Amino acid sequence: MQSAAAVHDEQVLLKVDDLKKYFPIRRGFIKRTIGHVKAVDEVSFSVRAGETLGVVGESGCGKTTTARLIMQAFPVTGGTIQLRRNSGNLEDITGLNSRELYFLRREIQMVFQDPYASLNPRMTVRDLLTEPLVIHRIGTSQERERRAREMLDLVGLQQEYLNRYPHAFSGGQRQRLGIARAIIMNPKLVVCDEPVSALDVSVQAQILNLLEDLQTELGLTYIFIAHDLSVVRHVCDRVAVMYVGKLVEFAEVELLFSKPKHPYTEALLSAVPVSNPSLRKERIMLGGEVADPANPPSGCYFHPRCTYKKAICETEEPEFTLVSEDTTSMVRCHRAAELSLKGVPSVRDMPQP
Amino acid sequence: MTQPIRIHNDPGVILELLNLRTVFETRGGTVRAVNGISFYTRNDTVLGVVGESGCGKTVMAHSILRTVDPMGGKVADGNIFFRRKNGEVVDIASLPSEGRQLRSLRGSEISMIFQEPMTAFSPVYTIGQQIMEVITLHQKIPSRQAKAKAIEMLGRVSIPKPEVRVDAYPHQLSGGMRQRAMIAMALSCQPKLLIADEPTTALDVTIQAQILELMVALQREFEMNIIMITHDLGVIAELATDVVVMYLGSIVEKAPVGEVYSNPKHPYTKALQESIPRVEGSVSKKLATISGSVPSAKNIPPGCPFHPRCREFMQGQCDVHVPTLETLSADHTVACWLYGGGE
Ligand SMILES: Nc1ncnc2c1ncn2[C@@H]1O[C@H](COP(=O)(O)OP(=O)(O)OP(=O)(O)O)[C@@H](O)[C@H]1O
Ligand SMILES: Nc1ncnc2c1ncn2[C@@H]1O[C@H](COP(=O)(O)OP(=O)(O)OP(=O)(O)O)[C@@H](O)[C@H]1O
Ligand SMILES: [Mg+2]
Ligand SMILES: [Mg+2]
Repeated sequence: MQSAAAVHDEQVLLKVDDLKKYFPIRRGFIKRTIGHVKAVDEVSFSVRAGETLGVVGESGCGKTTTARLIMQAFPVTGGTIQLRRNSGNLEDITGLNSRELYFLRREIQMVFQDPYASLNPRMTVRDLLTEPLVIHRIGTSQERERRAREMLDLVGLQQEYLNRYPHAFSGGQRQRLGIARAIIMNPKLVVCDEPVSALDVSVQAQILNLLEDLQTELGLTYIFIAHDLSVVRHVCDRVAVMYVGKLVEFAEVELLFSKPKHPYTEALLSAVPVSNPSLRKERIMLGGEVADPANPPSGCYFHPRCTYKKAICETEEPEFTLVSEDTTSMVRCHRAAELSLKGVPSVRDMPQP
Repeated sequence: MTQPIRIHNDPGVILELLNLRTVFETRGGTVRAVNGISFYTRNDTVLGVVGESGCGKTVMAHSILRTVDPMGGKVADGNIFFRRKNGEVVDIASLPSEGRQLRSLRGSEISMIFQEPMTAFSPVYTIGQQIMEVITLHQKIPSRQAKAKAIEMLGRVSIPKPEVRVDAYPHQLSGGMRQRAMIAMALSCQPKLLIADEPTTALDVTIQAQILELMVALQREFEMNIIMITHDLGVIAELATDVVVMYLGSIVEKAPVGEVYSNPKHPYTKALQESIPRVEGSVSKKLATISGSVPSAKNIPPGCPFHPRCREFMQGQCDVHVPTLETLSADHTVACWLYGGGE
């Protein structure tokens, strides 16, 4: 299965093909494997250099697992992850040995959701920031110190903070530290796992603006995991929608929001609170529960909750295919071609005050 | 400063706070978590309470139930007038702590939904047993009927197979289901006032939408007043009829929801509005931000609490004198010197 964006090959920084991660479910004294949680299954997409790719979906759908596979935090069950390395070639990064992984860390970094848990409380800001440089034996201690100061400037923190410990910072400041630590190695790709979910709206706005400034200044590429679709609409260029471990839609952000092709995407969009009381709308209420990845439904995983389902949806799993010849959007739905689904209102539909 | 007490003149008013102050005495000093707030709500209102982390939303909710006492807090000043089901108006602020009167209000006339659903249920009884207990406490009905009612309530909060789940223990439900079960329990006594503190932040958007819809439907059906605490302005826009904006323990603006979004007055309300990314409409690339950060509630700035971060700060006025809530139009009040607020 080829992902659509592979056509523009030279733009591609990361290419994921048929990615799988199955966690064994073990029971009993001898820990016999009695089944698998298919946390990530048949996931294929590509990320272009300089873009922000959004990944959205319900809790437990496999977003973090996808991120950790790209980071090579654990081995894949199947599939390939190709990264454009310094050589200029796309190289498979699955199954690297520990020495090769060490070099990979210079190119891919991660920003975590919880700015409280992700910083070691016993390290000063100086140590936190220079630690990656020390591990990679980059620069003299003066050079490292200078770089740490540069990073603080870049993320909008005062240089005096170098001697402080994380507990003396607010949530927003800690998230700035987390970002500084991720970019100090000058990575190409930064994987952000819900970077603003734990922050207040005003702080969230500051961090989103910061991420955007850094992208312009340093030419970063982001994979941006989020459950807040308003944030995704704001920062992402393209969006992947996951449901129970699989991609169900992949499209340019404007297209996805204005003309969703998968009923699950439509339901997600319909559920987002619209921050304008004059646009209160009829919602599509999804019945049922989020499917269990250890025991997914037959046919299309979404069929038990889908209002558009036909007989085929209960028995046959749809392929992840191009929506039509003339787009690069991909969708996994038997009825994608015939359905006309509802997106979010655009400026044109808004009542003028 | 004398304010009119509305609850005595308008039978639709359920709750009226007058100059409520709640403090925590700590070793580091006095935390003025709720610093003199006044508002009223009616039986047809869903009142949204918004404000950044630490502004006193949760403490305000716990003050109304007087559950701040066991938290180490104290209602230091002001009144909390509440109209009981029998029409009688009581001042909750003056009731003895943990007394019989308070206990008879909690869970039967005023219910609260917490952010963390695990704390609301006891792990050793089934969900059904716990909901039935609430029902039979206030309605003398046989247990078969109470169980049927519990199943009905679980069904109404969209828990699949409620007739099975009624016999489940809390740990056997997923986080989202537990949250819904807690809402079912809170609503099963048909309270007059429901205080929901971030009831959907732990939930997925699709489930959140279901729960919010359900709460509005039940509000209409039972003529119940809802106070909905959240930091999500989108949730407020979808659900609330009126909005209270809090900053550092004070109310800076109160207005009908349409007014807050189309005609915000306080610089803080305006700034909050501009800082949220929107799912609808045009996407501007830069979000507006509020400079600086929220000061600590131990060190509330003099004058208007927002003045150090305000774009329209007037020296000699805003940093010296405290603005009071000024009425702009029927339901729109704002505490800001730009609008002449003050004594
Ligand atoms: N180490 C593990 N062992 C077993 N199962 C796991 C492990 N990590 C994740 N899972 C399971 O894999 C599935 C996907 O989890 P993942 O953390 O990727 O979800 P997510 O989309 O990031 O959700 P959230 O939005 O809640 O963070 C879940 O069912 C989870 O329980
Ligand atoms: N038990 C306590 N002892 C001392 N101070 C407290 C206590 N509980 C709350 N506070 C303080 O009271 C203030 C208001 O806290 P509160 O929990 O009401 O904020 P909030 O608006 O609900 O914030 P959030 O959005 O984060 O839930 C904060 O400064 C907090 O630190
Ligand atoms: Mg996750
Ligand atoms: Mg709170």
